[in-house]
Amino acid sequence: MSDADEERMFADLRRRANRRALLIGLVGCAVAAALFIPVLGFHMIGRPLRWQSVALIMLLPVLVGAIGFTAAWWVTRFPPGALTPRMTLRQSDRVQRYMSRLYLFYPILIGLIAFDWALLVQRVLKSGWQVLDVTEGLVLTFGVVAYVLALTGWGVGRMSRLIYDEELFRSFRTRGYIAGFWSVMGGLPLILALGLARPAWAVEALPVLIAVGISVPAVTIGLLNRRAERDA
Amino acid sequence: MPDRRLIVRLKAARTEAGLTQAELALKVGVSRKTINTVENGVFVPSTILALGLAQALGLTVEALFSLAPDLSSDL
Repeated sequence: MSDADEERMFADLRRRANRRALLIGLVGCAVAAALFIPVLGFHMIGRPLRWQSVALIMLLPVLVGAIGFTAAWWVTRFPPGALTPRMTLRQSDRVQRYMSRLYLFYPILIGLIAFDWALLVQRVLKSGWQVLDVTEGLVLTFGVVAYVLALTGWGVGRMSRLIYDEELFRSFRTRGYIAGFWSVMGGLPLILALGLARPAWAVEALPVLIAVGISVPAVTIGLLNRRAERDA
Repeated sequence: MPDRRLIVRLKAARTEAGLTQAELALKVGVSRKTINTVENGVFVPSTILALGLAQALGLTVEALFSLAPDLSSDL
């Protein structure tokens, strides 16, 4: 494939990627609406927990999400074999730059989740589980898992794997994971010590430790990549 | 921070071969940034990448990389 053909293909792929991002945003809004409108509509916020109600509330957004995201992917999917390893590598610098920028925002994104999670733990310890607590807990857990997947690249396609596993970026990831491991190891004794004195505080502090454990590798990878770009 | 234990002659070899960083990167299957950091001595490549670079430039690994004299005399 000539350079001109590759450029044409890139333009087409970029159009599809933009359309996909827009559709994912719309489906995300639809999922949020499907999750929260029934909760408010059923006036279940303050009611005691009933697992049937939780299942009912979660079923609709899960269905909307599954159908919506599958449709968004199908409509904007790349033609089979369109993206070659050579084309992927040509884009690797740009994609890694975007990924690093996103990683630098991780402390804010994960911090918000951790803050909400700590409030949730506090609420549950005080007045027990209620329907909204369960849905909120599930959404927060899903958020954390999604961020970890975006950080590790677990489950991405073969071509995206080339970008994650590209030698320099892989070394950044390794250094990031090591920094994350030691940040968690440093925080764990503190949490354990806190647990001896105030068990409830230790439980509330756990989301913060998880947030640190995810943010530190993300920021490390982001900063290392940024420094390499500056030197390049 | 460049690794002082390694002497890298990649840039000279690449220029001699008439290749840009991007072209060499595509030949060995890495990003241009990787080639740049290897050339600057900031990143020490794996054995596989070192062999790949040597093969792409038609040279031996020793022609591209060698240990700093003070270190090699210690070995």
